[in-house]
Amino acid sequence: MVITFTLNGENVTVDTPPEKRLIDLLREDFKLYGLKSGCRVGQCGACTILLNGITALSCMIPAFTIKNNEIITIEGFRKTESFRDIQTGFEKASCVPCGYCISGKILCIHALLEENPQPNDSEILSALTGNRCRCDDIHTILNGVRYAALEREARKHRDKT
Amino acid sequence: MESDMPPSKEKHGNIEIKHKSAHTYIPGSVNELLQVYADHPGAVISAGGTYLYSTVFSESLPSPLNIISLKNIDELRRITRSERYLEVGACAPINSIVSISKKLLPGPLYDVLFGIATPTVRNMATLGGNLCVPGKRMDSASILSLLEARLEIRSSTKSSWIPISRFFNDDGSVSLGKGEVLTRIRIPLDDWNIGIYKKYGFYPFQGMEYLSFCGIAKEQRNILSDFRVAFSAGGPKILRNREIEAQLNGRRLPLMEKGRLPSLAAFQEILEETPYISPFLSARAFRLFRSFLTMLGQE
Repeated sequence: MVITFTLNGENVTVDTPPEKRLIDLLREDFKLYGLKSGCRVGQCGACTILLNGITALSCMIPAFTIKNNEIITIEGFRKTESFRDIQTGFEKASCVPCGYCISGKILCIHALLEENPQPNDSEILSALTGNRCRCDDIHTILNGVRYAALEREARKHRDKT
Repeated sequence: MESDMPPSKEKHGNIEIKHKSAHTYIPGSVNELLQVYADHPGAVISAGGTYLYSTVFSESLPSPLNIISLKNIDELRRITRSERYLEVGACAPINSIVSISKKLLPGPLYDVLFGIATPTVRNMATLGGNLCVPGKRMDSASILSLLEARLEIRSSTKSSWIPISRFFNDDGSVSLGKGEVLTRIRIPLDDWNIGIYKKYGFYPFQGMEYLSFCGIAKEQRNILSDFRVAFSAGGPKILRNREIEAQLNGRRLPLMEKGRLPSLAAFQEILEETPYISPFLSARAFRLFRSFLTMLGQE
C-alpha cells in the first residue's frame, strides 16, 4: 500500500504492508532510530511520537491509518525551540535520562508544557506515567521539567517583546 | 472511503507464499462504515487500536484479515452536552472526555477515565473501544453501568438505543449482531453527591491482578435515596447486586455498625461466588465496600 504523510515537516511517500506498525515503518524504512521499540504493547512509552501535535504510541498505530497525517519524531522535534527549552532545563537539573526513554520523555514533557505551562509536581508525574524507566531518579526529572517550564516561559516572553 | 487490497499471494522462485497483508478500509462517515461492515461482517474494527495492538495483534496477524479503521469518522468523535445527558461518540478519545471539566462529569466518571492507562494511551484509546473489549469488563464499564448509560447501536438497516446492562452478555461478549456497531454513549447527568472509585492493577491482561471498584450515592436530608455499587475484577461480568442496593436505599445516615452488617455479609457472599477474583483482590473489594458504607453520611 502506498502511503503519503508528513514526516518531520517533509512530505514522504512509502510503499508498505498496511498493517505494519508505525514504529517499524519509521525505524526500518526511514531509519529514525530516536524512537525505540520497547514493550510494543503501549506500556513503556519509548516509541512516543507527535501525531498531529498530540503524543501517540507508534507501536499501536497501523501504517495505513497515518495517510495524510503529520508525524514528528524526536529527530524532527530536536530542531525546534521547544526542544531547546527542555534540553536546557535538563542540563540545569543535571538530568540525564537514558537513550531508551529520553525521546518519549521529551515529547511527553513538551505536550504537558503546551497544555499546562506551569505544572505542579503531581501533574508532572502524572504526565510521565507512561514513560517507565529506572535510569534516572524522579527528583532530578521533576527539577528538569521545572527548569524547562521556566525556560519556555522566558522564551515566550522574549518572543513577545 | 479509502480501501486497499494487497495481493493475496506472491511468488518467490517456485515457492508461492500466502500474503499476510490485511485488507484495510477507512470510511469517512458512519453510513460508509455501516455499508462496508455489512459487506465484510467478519472484519476487525479498529477504533483507537490500543487493545487490538497490545493484545490481539501483539504477535502476529490472523489471515485473511479485513480491518476497518474508524479514525476518519468525525461523527463518532463528537461530544455534546444537554441539561440531562452527556452524549459521547463511541470513538471520542478518553482524553477529550477528561478535558471536559471534572465538575461537569457525573459521579466519579472523571476519576475513572483519568485512571485509564497513561496520558499518551488516553490520547488514542476511545470510550467505545473500552466498552467493547471482548471477555473483559474494563474501567469504564462499571461506572457507566451505575450511571445507567444508554448505547446507540447501528447497522446498515436499523438503529436502536439499549441500556448498557443489555450490552454485556454473561459469557463476556458484547451484544453486537452481524454488521452492528456501537456509535454513541448517552450518560445521564444526575447529581450524585457521594462517589468512590478505586483501581488496583494496570489492566486485566497478561495475568495481571485488576480491580475497578466504584460506588455512587445520593443523600437527601440524611436519607440515602439512591445507592449503587459495582466492580469489575477483569472478568467477563460487572458485579452489581441490586438486592444490596435495595437494602440500603431509604436508610437514615450515617449508617450504624449494626445497620451495615447485613449488607457487608451479602457483599462477602458475592465475592465468594465470584470465581475469577483472587483472595487479595476479594479482600480489597470488601474493604472498599466497607469504606464506602462508612463514608455515607460523613461528607
